[in-house]
Amino acid sequence: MILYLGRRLIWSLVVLLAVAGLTFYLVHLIPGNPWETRTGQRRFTSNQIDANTLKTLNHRYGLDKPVWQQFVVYLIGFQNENGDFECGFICGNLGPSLRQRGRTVNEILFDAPENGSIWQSRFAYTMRLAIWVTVVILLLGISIGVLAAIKQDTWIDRSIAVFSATIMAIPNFIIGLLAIIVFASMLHLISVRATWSKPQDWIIPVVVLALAPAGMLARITRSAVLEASHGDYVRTARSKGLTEPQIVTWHILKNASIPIVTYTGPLLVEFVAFSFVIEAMFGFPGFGREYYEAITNLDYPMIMAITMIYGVIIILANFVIDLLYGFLDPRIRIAET
Amino acid sequence: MKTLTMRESTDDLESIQAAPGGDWRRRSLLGRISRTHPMFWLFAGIAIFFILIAIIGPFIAPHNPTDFHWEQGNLHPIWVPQNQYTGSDVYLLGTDTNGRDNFSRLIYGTRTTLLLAFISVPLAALLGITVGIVSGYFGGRTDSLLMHFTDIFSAFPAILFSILIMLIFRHRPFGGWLNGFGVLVLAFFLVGWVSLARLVRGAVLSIKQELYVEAARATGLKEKRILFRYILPNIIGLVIIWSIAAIPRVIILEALLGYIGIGITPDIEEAHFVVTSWGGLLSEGRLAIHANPVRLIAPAVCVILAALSFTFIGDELRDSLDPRSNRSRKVSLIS
Repeated sequence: MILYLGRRLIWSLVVLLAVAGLTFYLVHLIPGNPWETRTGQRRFTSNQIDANTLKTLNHRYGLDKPVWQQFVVYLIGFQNENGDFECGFICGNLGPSLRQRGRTVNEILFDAPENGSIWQSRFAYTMRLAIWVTVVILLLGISIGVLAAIKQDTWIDRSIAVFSATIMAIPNFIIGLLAIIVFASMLHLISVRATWSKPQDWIIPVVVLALAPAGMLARITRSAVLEASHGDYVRTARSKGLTEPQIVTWHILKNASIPIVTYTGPLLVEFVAFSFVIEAMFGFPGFGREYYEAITNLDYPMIMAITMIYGVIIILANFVIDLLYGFLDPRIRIAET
Repeated sequence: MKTLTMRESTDDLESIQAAPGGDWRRRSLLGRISRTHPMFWLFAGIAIFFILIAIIGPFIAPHNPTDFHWEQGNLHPIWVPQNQYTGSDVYLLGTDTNGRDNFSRLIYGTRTTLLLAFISVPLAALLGITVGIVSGYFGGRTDSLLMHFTDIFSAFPAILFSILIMLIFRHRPFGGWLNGFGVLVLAFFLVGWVSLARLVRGAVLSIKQELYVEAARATGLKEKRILFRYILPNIIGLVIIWSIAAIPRVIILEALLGYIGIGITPDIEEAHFVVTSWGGLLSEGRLAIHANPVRLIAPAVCVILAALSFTFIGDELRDSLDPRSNRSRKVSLIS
């Protein structure tokens, strides 16, 4: 088991390194530089920067070196002007932000804002959003999935099937757009300038992000529950005289949990893939919105940092799911060792 | 097809015998779908409607999508109650800031978006099939390379990859080709094939074990012949299902890239083939989200309808072609 975990850990690090290298290389392929504002984005500012300033800035931030050298510097570290060694990414130093000059990426992402708690950092905001989205997905998905399975082949089952297929097919940024139009522009129910301190500010982004995965989860739960309910242990439990809710909770749901857990990985990937668009759309103060700005402004260290955070989250989630397998199904644990 | 014959074996035997001659496979497949899901025809109708619009669009568009009507900018549709900018009955969906007809632009956008899907999906499918067969059938270095590659890819949201590709190529000579249409095809092509390659690899691995393949090899057939006669026909179903399910993914990704402003560059000359796309309309309409939301709602509704219909058709085909798939296996596509 420990050997297996060790192998997994090393492989995860290799994958992370590859993701870092790939992102670093691709981002530097994008034409332009972080110092100029892009055409069409801020129309009233000057688009030009004089050659000397450009050269000085590039030299100051090491952008005049070849990309692979920059990558090594970013990853491991470099010798600063005083001759001290400044450790790079491997020590958790994410580098300076190129757009918000004077601040480091670590400060922007992880530090609490002025007179705010640590829960109001960019990172904490997105994590809170992710947690709420996961909670809603699990509650909604599992409950309507179980309901559909219990009422199999009734109109309830059929309408749940249509409902989940529909919310899965509609992209969430479109739902978000329509939600803004309906709730903010027409009904004036949500404020355009949300403060994100009241629970009602969170409802719409959370629901928008949770809908499609919840539909998927409902489908999976339904078929897993149906499959588990044909097991011998269910007949045994029923003949023991257990009540129906007890059977569903302790015998069916527990055995149906493996496909449900399997889905949590792709679910997270989907959250990651779209959360930054939704965050930007609703003006949510998490790091997803920061990502959006960083990509459009070529803030290299910021893009790298957030891509890596996303990568670590995805890899960690898959890792935890693998561990959960062993916990939920002892047979897998035996097979692995 | 093995999976089909398994399903046909018992309950549909009568219908096969009842219809001698004709293409019983196709008939019973469509018949089966429409029996279990009457909605199938509704969604198939919507899909066909969009395809028709894409083909005959230029002939039915009431206005030139690139004509500026300076005095009639920002009109609301006439059926929207509004005191300011009251609509005109000439413009069904109103006009944009420059007085261009929203409805005509939507029709032209349909053409771009669907064409994009129908070009990039087959391209991605070709590469996916090739890599999948090579790595599944011959194994070895290609196989381990593919598996490592997909491992890396799965830790890297595909949408970010396509955004990076768009940004890299947009401002280069190639990027301007057909207003960015070429880069979009490239982006979907590079992102899309991975999941199909993985699916095909799995399928080939299991088909390789089948008795008939072993028998073919025992009779001394060449590898090439085994591939084309026994392996390829068995994965065609999978590829078709993947392709249809990939269409809505492309449409959604195009809309998303357009929405964040890096999709098609809208053109002001009608002579150019790619005038705008649904994504391009979303990106323009974004500025009018409070002033004239119809400009956003119209392309959004089109994306929703197209995504719904193609997804539904793909789902039904999957369930009908592969009775063993019990909807719990997620066929992970582009993202």
